Amino acid sequence: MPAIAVSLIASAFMFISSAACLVLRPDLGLMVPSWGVALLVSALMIAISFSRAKAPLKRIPVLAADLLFSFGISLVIFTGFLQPNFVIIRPLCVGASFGYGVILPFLVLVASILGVKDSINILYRYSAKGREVLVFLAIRASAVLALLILGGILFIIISKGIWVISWDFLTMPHRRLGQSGGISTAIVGTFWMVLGAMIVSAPLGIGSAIYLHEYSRSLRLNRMITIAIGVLNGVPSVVFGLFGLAFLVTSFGVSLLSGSIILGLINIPTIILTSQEALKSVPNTLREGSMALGASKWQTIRKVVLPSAMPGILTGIIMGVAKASGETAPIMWTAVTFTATSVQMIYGVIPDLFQPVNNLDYHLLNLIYFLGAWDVEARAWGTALVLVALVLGTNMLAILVRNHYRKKISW
Amino acid sequence: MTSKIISKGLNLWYGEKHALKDINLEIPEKKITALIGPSGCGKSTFIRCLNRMNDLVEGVVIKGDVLYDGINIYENDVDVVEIRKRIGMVFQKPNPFPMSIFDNVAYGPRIHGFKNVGQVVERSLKAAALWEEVSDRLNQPALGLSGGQQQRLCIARTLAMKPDVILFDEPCSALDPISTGKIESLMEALKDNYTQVIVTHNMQQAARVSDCTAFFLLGELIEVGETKRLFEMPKEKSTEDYITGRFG
Repeated sequence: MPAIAVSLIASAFMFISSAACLVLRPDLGLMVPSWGVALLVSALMIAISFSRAKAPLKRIPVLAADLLFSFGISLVIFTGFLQPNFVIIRPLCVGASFGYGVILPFLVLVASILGVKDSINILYRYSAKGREVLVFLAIRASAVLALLILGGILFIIISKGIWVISWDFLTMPHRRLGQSGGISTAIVGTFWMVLGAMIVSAPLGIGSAIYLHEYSRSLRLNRMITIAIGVLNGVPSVVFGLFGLAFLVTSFGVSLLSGSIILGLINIPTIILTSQEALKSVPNTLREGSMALGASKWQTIRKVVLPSAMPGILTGIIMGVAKASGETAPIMWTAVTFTATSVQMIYGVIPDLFQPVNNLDYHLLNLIYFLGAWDVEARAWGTALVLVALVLGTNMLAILVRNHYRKKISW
Repeated sequence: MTSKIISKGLNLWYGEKHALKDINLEIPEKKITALIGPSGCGKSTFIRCLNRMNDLVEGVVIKGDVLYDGINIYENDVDVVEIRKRIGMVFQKPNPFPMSIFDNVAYGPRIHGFKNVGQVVERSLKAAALWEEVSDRLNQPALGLSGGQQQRLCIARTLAMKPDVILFDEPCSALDPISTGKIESLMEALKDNYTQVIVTHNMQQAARVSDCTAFFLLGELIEVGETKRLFEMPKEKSTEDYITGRFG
């Protein structure tokens, strides 16, 4: 039916353009009259096709309400009732005010969704099939939305941050409180701190996972530990920071070591949980096969179970890297200072564990503090870009590792 | 005919469930003994008692004796590792380790510090009638083999330990008829040197390969005897019902 096609196209146009306007907030200008026309066209086409489709009469009240809504908005647009200076100030005493640039696209967005709903319902004559199409459309739209949000954030960070990225930016320390120079101290500090966190958390996490999954026979103890891990996983990271301030900084000072230990502690639950999953995925028949050959439990774990579970465990560790490199709160008072020099190496190989370091998150946080006072915005975006690239890169690495091993091991 | 393994008054409980009831069974040396019976009758549970694989299952209580060459393997001072070295086991689903073919067979010998692992691997693969098929790709992953080849690899892996008893827990239930035939003729060939016990769902298989057959039902050993006699002239009514297909 051509009428339905026209109304669907008009609704789709309104949906995309109004959503874009809601996000980007451009000057609405020419958008407004074209929305008015689209609203009228889609309402008219829906009315025509409804009368032709011999749809059930009891659907008329809802449809009429929808059409009146569209019609009302186009009326508002054409009569000029809504002016660009229109604003609803603190409706119902909530803390925000809504202006023309938000209200109008929002109304159009609602109308477009109603238009799509009615068009598809008419197209399928209000059958169950039509409802299914609508539900799938909504589900797919939410999936696409999630992608769009990630894409949008990435786009904004890249488009604003790419301009300051240069070899010097990546390899020079910052000068004049971040107004010039680079972010090398932050990159180096992040690297060593995350590495330290992994050295702290990986053995402990993998060890506990092996104990829980392979050795422990007491169901009660097992359950207690599992609950404890879950709670630990839910503790806000700033609480770990407070813990570090009270128990680590007193002995090690504000230092790389304190930060590594705290980030390591934060990571342990993640590593235990992912390692446990990895161990669970190793079929029991492999363990039995090994034991039946006279292998001891430890030989079985070391030679058969761990190699088979390694991809999963590695994935967990890499995810831990991504998580640890994104934490700011726990290290703010325990490990980092903005003015820290790059990590000093003892004998050229061992990093000095007892010095404060800079860190990408913390560097970004400081630049944001300075935004009002100095011109550091571009540098802040650049730092964010490096940080996001780091997290994204480690996540990609985790996926690659997993896929690589999944191809090699299958049962 | 001497007995390699003798079970005396063997009882087993999974928690509350009494899964094996007073089993008295003698397994003759260098013969193939088949254990048959409907699902859940305890035949797999029984065979797993013979190399103490049930130790690994939680909540299992075992009472009674299993004598292997006159030694009770459930005595406290018996070394489980030694028992499992002497009494090998092949499982229902082929379970090669995710490593190369060579490493799979060499796994046991290496763990126990055998000398000349290379020779042991070659001899075992030949004994398992797999050498011809894999000799040119020993370093390939074992998981790339077909199901039947994987199962023969598992047999080779067991043979590499130089056991004198091999337990087969439904070794062919995941295999096609051709692979099943190969495993059966392999068992026939291994008869001169090994005592073999096979759990099977398939009565024709029991009739084809075994010398002795034991029929289990609801955790009890109903009847045991020479295979030919048991299939042609069962003494018990329930044995007859089972082998003529009236239940199971």
